[in-house]
Amino acid sequence: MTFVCLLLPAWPTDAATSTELVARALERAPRVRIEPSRKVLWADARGLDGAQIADGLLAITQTLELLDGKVGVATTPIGAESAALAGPELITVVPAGGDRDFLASLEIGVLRPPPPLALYPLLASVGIERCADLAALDREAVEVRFGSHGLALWRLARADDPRLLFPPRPQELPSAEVEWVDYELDRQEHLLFIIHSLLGTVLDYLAKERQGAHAITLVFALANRSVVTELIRVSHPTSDRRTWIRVIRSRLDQVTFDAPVTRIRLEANRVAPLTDRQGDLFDLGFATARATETALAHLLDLAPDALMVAERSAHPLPELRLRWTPDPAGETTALATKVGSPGQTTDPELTLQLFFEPRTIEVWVGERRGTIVPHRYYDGIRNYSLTTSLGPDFISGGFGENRYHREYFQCLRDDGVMVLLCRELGDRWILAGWWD
Amino acid sequence: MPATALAQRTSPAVLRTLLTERFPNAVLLPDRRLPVFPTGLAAFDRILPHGGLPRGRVTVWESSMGGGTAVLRSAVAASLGRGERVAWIDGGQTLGPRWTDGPLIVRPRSADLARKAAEILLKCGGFGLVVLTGTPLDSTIMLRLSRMVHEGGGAFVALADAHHTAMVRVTSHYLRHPLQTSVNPFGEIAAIDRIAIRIEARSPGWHSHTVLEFPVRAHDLRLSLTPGVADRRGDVD
Repeated sequence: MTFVCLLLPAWPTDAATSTELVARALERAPRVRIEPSRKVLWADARGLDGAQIADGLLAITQTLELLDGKVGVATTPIGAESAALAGPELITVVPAGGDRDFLASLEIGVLRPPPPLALYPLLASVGIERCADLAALDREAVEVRFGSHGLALWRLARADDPRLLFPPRPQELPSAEVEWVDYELDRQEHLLFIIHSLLGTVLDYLAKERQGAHAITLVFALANRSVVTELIRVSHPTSDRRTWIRVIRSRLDQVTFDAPVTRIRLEANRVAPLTDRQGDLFDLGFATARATETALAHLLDLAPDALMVAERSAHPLPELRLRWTPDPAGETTALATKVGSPGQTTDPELTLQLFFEPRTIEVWVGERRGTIVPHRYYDGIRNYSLTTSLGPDFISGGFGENRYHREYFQCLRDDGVMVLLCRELGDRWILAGWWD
Repeated sequence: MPATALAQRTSPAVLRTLLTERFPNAVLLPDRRLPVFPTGLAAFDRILPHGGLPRGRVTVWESSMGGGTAVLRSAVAASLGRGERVAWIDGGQTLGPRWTDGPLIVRPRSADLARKAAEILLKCGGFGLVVLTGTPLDSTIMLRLSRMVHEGGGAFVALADAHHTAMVRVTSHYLRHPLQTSVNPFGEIAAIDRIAIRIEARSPGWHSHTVLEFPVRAHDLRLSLTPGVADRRGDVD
């Protein structure tokens, strides 16, 4: 970036001249900024000829009869400002990359903002007069001896100026609109046809910029002068028209219009760059990573709570030790697009599987050393004899309404299936799960 | 013709030889080379027609309570170890507390979504193995899924109770014996340590079986002073 700094010791005090100065400066440079307290006008010369803009600014000052103006051009704000302040000519251009060298010969007092007065004796006591003297020191040494003010000055002396004079321009998001007066549309197919065309305009523009839309707003103007706005999001930024038309179609299925549509406006709300991952020779899944991401995004668009993440706890009840929480943000998407680590193996073992909803069953019991154990149960479909019943395992806890008190039995059915039975207070029996 | 001679002439080996002589250019289905997905369980892979789950084809495990989950979990771990992605669609929402992380878990709210998720994941081709459990399937859906599997090229196993047309059909059931148990000081069974499972694999021109023994991971016995011995203090009443 190139900065042009116009220093006007005789800064105009009337608003009209200031306004005129800025207006004329804007004819020369796309962006300008004024700091009347410091009597400077900044011009953004990125991608332009800085010297030419400096000439133009100086000509403006002469036209407006603003005397003693000087201009500095440099790639850093401190370089440009110092060049305007201490440069030998009316226009001083610092070569690209030469800001630090240019500052080296200047006195410390040239730097803006100037250091506190109390710092001068300290600097003078160690023989620091010019920027080169200060820039040659270590950061730690400067911070220890001169504190934060000295550190800020040290940075400026090294042409390290973090000021953001011209922030990035807000990006203009593409939009498309179509309006008709001769007829009215009330069928979804017709609306989708038009939306498809509008999408083409918007998404093609984004695709050229290597960007994808994350959210799109559809504004429908109805014949009864009302407006319906629908904000539609996808899980991953994309410029794929098929993906968008699929998501929009599913959304429009849920929308009812009170009157026929006479105008549709489609605008991209949020866009993000389409990034390609770095390839890895040892990543077997790299070739299919993009397809997998697209498939998971499709799945998330269909059912945002379909992808689940396991959360484990040490809850006494086995049914509650594993909780599944949705992953609408698609964090597992990133995991799924990474392949597993080599050497990961698991010895097969039968583990407890849980019914989605525990089933109430009818149980016939017997007695073993003073405790009740199940011998047979009926689950509403058929009877199962239990050849072995292990337990009971007493588990109780909780408070108030959440209090629980259960007896668990691990039983082997006559067909060899191992099941988990549970007896609650009130002699209610539940089939909680099975081993598989 | 004597019965022994007839039996010899109609034995599978003899018939196979006769067919090879009569149709020298024909290839028996089990001999056709297909890319496979090794499950990591050598004994199980041996009973499958091509030495593993066929890629690009449908495999149906026709017993939802026959140890299929244990075998498939092992296959999932082996797949992740090889560096392949795996998706597990838990249509019945039955995964228990001993589940280990690794595969992508999909727990759709409805059977329709489960089937749709299977289609999407199979079609994308990014998953070496997709497992679908707890979801009712019919012939139309199976046809759609088989097309998606063919397109994606991964292995697909549907764990279902009903019979379906598939390249490989696997059935399994628990054997009551042998059963390894631990006993408590009273001489009673305190824990079931291992259970044997008989697994059969069928494919056109192929039928094989094996018996595998799996350890049983019982859920932790709370307040038990001795590992493996259930706690019997207290009473519901």
